[in-house]
Formats: sequence, C-alpha cells, structure tokens
Amino acid sequence: MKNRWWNYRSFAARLSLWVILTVAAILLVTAVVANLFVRDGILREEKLRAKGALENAEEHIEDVFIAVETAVKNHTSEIKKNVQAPHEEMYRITREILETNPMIVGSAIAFEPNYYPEEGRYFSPYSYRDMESKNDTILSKQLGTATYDYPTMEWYQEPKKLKRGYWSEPYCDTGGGEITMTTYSYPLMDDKGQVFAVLTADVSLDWLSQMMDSLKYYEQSYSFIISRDGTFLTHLSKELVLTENIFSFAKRVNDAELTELGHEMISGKTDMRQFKSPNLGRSFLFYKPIKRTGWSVAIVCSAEEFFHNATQAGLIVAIIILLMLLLLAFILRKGVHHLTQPLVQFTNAVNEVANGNLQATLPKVKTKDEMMRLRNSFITMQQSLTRQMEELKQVNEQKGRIEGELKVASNIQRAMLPKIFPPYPDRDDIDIYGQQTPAKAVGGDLFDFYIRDEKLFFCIGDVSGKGVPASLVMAVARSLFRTLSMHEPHPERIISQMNDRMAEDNELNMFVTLFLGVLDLPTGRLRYCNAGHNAPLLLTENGNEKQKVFLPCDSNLPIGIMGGWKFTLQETTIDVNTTLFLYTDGLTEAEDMNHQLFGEERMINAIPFSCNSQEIINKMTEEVNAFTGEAEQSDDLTMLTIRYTKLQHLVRFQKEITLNNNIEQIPQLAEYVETVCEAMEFDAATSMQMNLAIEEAVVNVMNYAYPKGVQGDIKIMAQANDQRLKFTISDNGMPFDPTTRQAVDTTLTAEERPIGGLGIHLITQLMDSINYERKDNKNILTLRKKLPATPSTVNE
Amino acid sequence: MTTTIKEENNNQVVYFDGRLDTAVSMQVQKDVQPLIDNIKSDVILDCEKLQYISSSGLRIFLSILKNVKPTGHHVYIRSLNKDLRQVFTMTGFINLFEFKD
Repeated sequence: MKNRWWNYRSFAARLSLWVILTVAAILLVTAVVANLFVRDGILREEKLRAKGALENAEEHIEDVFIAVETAVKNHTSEIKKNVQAPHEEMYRITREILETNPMIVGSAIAFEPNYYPEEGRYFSPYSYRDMESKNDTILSKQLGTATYDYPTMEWYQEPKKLKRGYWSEPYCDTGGGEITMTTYSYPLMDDKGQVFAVLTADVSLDWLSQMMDSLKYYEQSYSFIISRDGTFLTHLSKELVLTENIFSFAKRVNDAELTELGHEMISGKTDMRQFKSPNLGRSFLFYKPIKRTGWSVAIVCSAEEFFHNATQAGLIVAIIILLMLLLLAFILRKGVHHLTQPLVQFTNAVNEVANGNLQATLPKVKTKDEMMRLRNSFITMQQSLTRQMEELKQVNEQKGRIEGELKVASNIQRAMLPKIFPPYPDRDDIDIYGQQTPAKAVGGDLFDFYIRDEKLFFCIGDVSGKGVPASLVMAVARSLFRTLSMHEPHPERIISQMNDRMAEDNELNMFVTLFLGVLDLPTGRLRYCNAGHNAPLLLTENGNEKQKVFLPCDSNLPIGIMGGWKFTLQETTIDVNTTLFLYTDGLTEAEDMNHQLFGEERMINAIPFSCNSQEIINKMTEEVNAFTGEAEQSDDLTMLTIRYTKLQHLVRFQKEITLNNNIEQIPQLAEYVETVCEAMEFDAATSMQMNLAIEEAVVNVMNYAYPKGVQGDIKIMAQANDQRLKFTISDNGMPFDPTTRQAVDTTLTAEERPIGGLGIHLITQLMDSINYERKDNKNILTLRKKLPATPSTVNE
Repeated sequence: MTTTIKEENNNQVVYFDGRLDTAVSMQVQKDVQPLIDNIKSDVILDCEKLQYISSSGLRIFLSILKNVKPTGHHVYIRSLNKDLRQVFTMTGFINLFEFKD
C-alpha cells in the first residue's frame, strides 16, 4: 500500500470537509432561493412603479390633448357666429386660440373650397407662433394656395368624414424649424350638419421627449413612444424619431421578438416583457397604450440595473456565507481535532505496543462515548497481550529447558565416548584414535575401548534411528559393553548377553549393529564378533607388502532383535604394524549433492598406509568432506582406528622354574622370586611385593587349575627387557581365568568382607598388568612390572 | 614361622615371627585356633617380627577379627612394618583393624 502524503487524509480533515460541503450546499440553495424571491419581488415592485409612471405619462399627455381639444371646441361657436363677419375675425379667432393655449403653436380655419367666393377657391386663415422671435409673437397668414390643396389632406379629410375631432399622425414640420408636431382637426358644421370648415390646432410634441426624459428613473433606462403605425415619436436615439418605425427597425436589426413586441404595443395592450435590447442587453420593457391617440408608451430598463441591488445583496450574502464557512472550517478543525486527538494518541500507543512496550500509556478519555469504548477495548487488548506474552514466555522457557536438557543429553552422550587421545600415552604397543560426527545433536553411534589385563576391548556400533531414543539405546549398549566385558573376555559371549538384555521388552524394536573385538596385546591375538555391523578394514604392512582387506565377518543378527541368538566367535592374529579401521555406515553412505554414496571403494582408496591412527582418520574426514561438499550430513559418522605397534624388546634376562601343584613348594617359589628380584636390583619393599604377587598367582593355580588329587606342573618364567619384568605362569589344567573374578570391595566392614578373593586383588594392585590367555590347552597368565628407570637411562 | 600366644597386661598377645605365606598359613591357623576358641580379653597381634604376609595370612587376621568382634573386645595390630602396612592399605584391611605402635 502506498502511503503518500496526498493519499493520507486525517479523519478530522475528512469530517470537516464533509460538514463544510454540506453546510455550503444548504446555504447555497437557501441563497439561490432567497435571491429568486427577492428578484421576483423586485420585478413585481418595478412593474407597479413602471405602471404608475406610464399612467402618469398617459395622464399628462391626455391633459395636454384635452386642453388642446377644449381650446379648439371652445372656439367653434365663435367661428360659426362670425361666419358672416369680416374675414379679419377669423384671423383674430385663430390668434385667440394660440393665446389661450401655449401648447398650440399654430391654428387654422380651413374653409370648404369656394366658401367665400371673394377669397378664391381656398381660404384658410392661419395664425402661428414665430419661433425665431424672442418674445412670443403670433403671426397670421392665409394658408390656402393653389399649391397647397388642403381639402385633400388627411387632417381635413378625416374629421370631415368622421364628423368629429381627429388627431393626425405626428409629423415633422419642416416649415417652421425641425419640430415634431401633431394636429388636431375639428369639423365645423352649419345648422344643417354640413361641414363648412375644419378648425385645426398644431401642437408641438417637443415637450413629449422632455416628459419622457423625466420618466427615466434608472441610469440607463429609457422610454419611447410609438404612434399608431409604430413610428417612433420619442426615442433615446433621436435619429429614429419619425424616420423609422418599430417594424422597419426590427427588420433592420433582424429581431423577430421586436416585431412581435411592436404588434402587441400597437394593439393597445398593457404588459411587461423581457427582451434583448440592442444597447442594454437583457432588459425589461413595460408598455401601455394612450387611448386618445392610439400611441403606446414604453419604458425599457436594463435587467442588470434592475436587479443591481439584488445582485449586490446576493454578493454580500455570498461573502458572508464564505466567511461563515471559513469560520466553520476553523471551528471544525479545532473541534474535530480536539475530538480526534485521542485517536492520534491511540495510534502512538499502538505503535509503542507494536514496539514491545505493552504498558504503553493510553490517552485519558473523559467523554462517555466511542472513544471511551475504544479505550476500554485497548485496555482489554493490552491485558490480553500481556497475558499471552506471559504464556508465550513460559512456553519458550519450557522449550528452552527442553532444549537445554537435550544439550545435556548430548553432552552426556559425548562424555560416554572416549575423548582423550592418545588414550594410553605410556603404551607403545597400541595407537588408537576415534572420532564421531553426529548428524543431529544427539547421535546413535557408539564406539568404546579400554584395556583390561593387557587386552584391548573395543567396539563400534550403530543404533537404528536417530536423536534422543537412539542415544538412549546407545547409552544402554555402551554401559552393557562396559559391565559385561569387565568379567567376560569372550566377545561372542559379551554380545550374546548384551543381545539377551536388550531384546527383553524391546517394544520399540530398536536394534544395534555392533562389532566387538578383544585384542590380546602381548600376542596380537584378535578375537571378535560382528553383530550385523560393517566389516572393519584391515591394513597390513610387512615390509613392502601392503594390503587392504576387509576382516572376514560371519553374518550375525544385530543386537536386540532376537534374544537367545547364537553369535559366532571369529579369531585371527594380527602382526605388528597392522591397522584396524572401524567405521559406521555414516561413512560409506555419506551422500554428495547428487545423492551419490561415498561407498566402500572410495573409502578403501582414501585410507593411507604408514600413517598413525589420527592421520588416517583426518585423511578420511578430509576425503569424505571433499566428497559431500555442501550436502547436509544425513547420518552419524563414526570412525575408530586401532594400530598394533608392539615393539619386540630385547630380552636381557630370563629365568624359569617348574613347580607342581603343592603349596609346600611355596618357599622354593619365594627363593626363585628373590633371585629374580636381586637380578633386577629391586629394593626390599618391591621384592616383597613381587613375592606376594607371584605367590598369590601361583597359589591360585595350585588351588584351582587341577582337580583335587591330580598332580600337575606349573611353569613360571621370568623375562626382562629394558622396559619391564614379565612373569608368565602357565599350566595344563582346566581353563581358569582369574581375571574374571569379582573385584574386592575394600570399603566393606569386617563382618561383610568375604574371606576369599583377596589374592587376585593383590596381584592387580601390585603388578602393572595382568593378562590371561588360554592357548594350546594351557592357561597362560602374564604379570608385568615396569622397571624403574636405570641411572644410565636417566643420564641420557 | 613361629606363632606364640601370650597373656600380657590382661591382653592376649599373638607374636608372629617370620614369613606368613600360603605354605605355613594352615599351621598358623591351627596355632591361633585356641585363642579364637577362648576369647576373654582384647587381642593384640604383634607383627614386629613378621616379614611377609600373603592373602592366606590376611585371611587368618580377618578370621580372628570376625571372631573377636561379637564378644565386644578389640583387636589391635602392633608394630606393623611399613611395607606390610602397604599390603594392609591395598586390601582395605587398614580400615578394619585398630593399630598400635
């Protein structure tokens, strides 16, 4: 998950944003609706105002026109009265009309052609105001001439025809300056109802545009008047006045809407209309007819100006809303920040918990709300975590203890294996080296050896399976080997007894392959029994003749499978410089990365001649490691090398005596031993000890080798080289191995001490070694005593 | 090898003189038998003149001890030389007897 800053929105920010958006939307809708109402109100008000203004304008116009009409009508009777009077009267009347009404700029009495024959065909006395003179001067003239055939004029025709007053369409009077005029014509009828003249009053409409200007109540609003046919009577654009009508204008600016408007206006309607003014843009137009003249008055207002206040008010409202929203945002930020502050603290607390501090301080929450519930959940979580950590710790401690115990087991197991090499530094006849590389912490391989009575007992074995169970079985096998071999020199018997013990209650069906050998060190006689183990390799060196052969092995069952199995004994004699290489299948079955086995052939090739036992094992380890490379060791690898290196020492002294089995001959024996000790230059104490040891050994033979009453010989031979003195006691009696006797417990009390067994105990105490061999139907007991270093040797 | 039994200071003292080897052990056993049969006081085994002792001799010493102990009396060994004392040490007999110089 990418956690970029722009992806991160705090809860406070999001909440604030939503609240502000909602409030803004509500305010906006309210403002828009309010504005609409305000605009509607404004429109209605403006309508009323425009209506009033229009009505005022109409009234004003009506007033003017009524005044003109009244002035005209008031003079009709006077004209009738003075028809027969001199024509000067007519001029006077017209002047009078002008005088009574300042609005009237000209007045004529146009008589029917030939009404006054003496005046000619046309007679029309006319008075008018002199526009050029400063003071209001009224001039008169006769209007009717041959070129001005007034009876054909509209202003004459219409009232004559209608027999009532008639307002002409406004027109531009070119005669007396450019002024807009309209003329009111009134028919004068005689008693018979015949029209004999038309009285006219010319009215200047200049005041109209002035009046219309006063209707302007907005900066940019304007008003205009159109006549019955749509001609502009007043307009903001003066050039339109009387020159253009609304329809031609609409056509010119190509505005159909304006055409429609024109039609509605001249049809005499009162209304309001929105339209697009060419100069004001969107505008409102109010119009009203002036019934007397058939005109239509209109006021045009710019919508912009119209709603100026509303727009301004809207703007102010918008600013207020904006400010309020800002204020709201500020308050929310503060408020929500305050409300969500515990969340930040909770986050920090969780981070702390994640970093291992389970007792992280939680933020204080006073409000009884979700925060409180969250806090309670946190407390529960902390307690639960603490509890679980505690449990985990206990489990780990237990696990650690088990692992520790396994390590102890491994140490115990290793301690059982011989580990001090060379094991017999003061012996020159044997060279032993052993090594074990366990596959798992605790292995199931074993090897062991020890020397008892000049015999090397050794074994190598492999327990089925691995790990703790295998190591337990291994420990049992090893201790059985030690215990049983202590009193039993025959390998096949030791193995048989081990087998019987281990086969009992062997519910797990674990078994041990074991090679057990007993090497008689003085003679090189090797007796062995192989219970299903790999045959050891024998390296013989006799000068240049070197040989690598497997020691021939009978096929026996492994130990522990079947109790009572008869194991077979095998025997050979090895020469000096012979090496025995023992191993477990961990060597031959060592695998490389491609699961190829090391095999016997590689093993045979790898093993070197003329090396000591440690060199051989080092070389083999090197070879097997080079072969397996990175591959994991799958099985225990155990190797044991035994080199027989007995040196033949020069015998420099030899003396023998033969006795028969009669204890009466003991003094002879004592004499003999005394002679030997003298030759060895022993001191009195050592001589006494030799005497004691030999006597005990010989008495043993005298007492036990031959049945009672049978006479037999006992031959005692003393031999000495530079190193040691050796007594060999041999007889032809029954097989009797004194070395298998139980050791004497010297700690027992007088009551518990047995009478017998002291002799052999004394021998082992007094001599350096005792060795029994049965050979050629003879019991041969060998006792050795190391000679003290001679002064000459010391000197060297 | 001669074995003499004397009564001294209310003690029974056995004097061993010579080599106590297996050849003479039968005779010595016979010689001490009267003492074993009639224990009436503490027994002192005087070894001042004892030159040699084999396991059969040690057995005689042990049989004397085994017979005296139940009577509540003591068996003391007197004037045992250094070499023989070593034999007693080897066999653990040094723990069984009380010694007097």
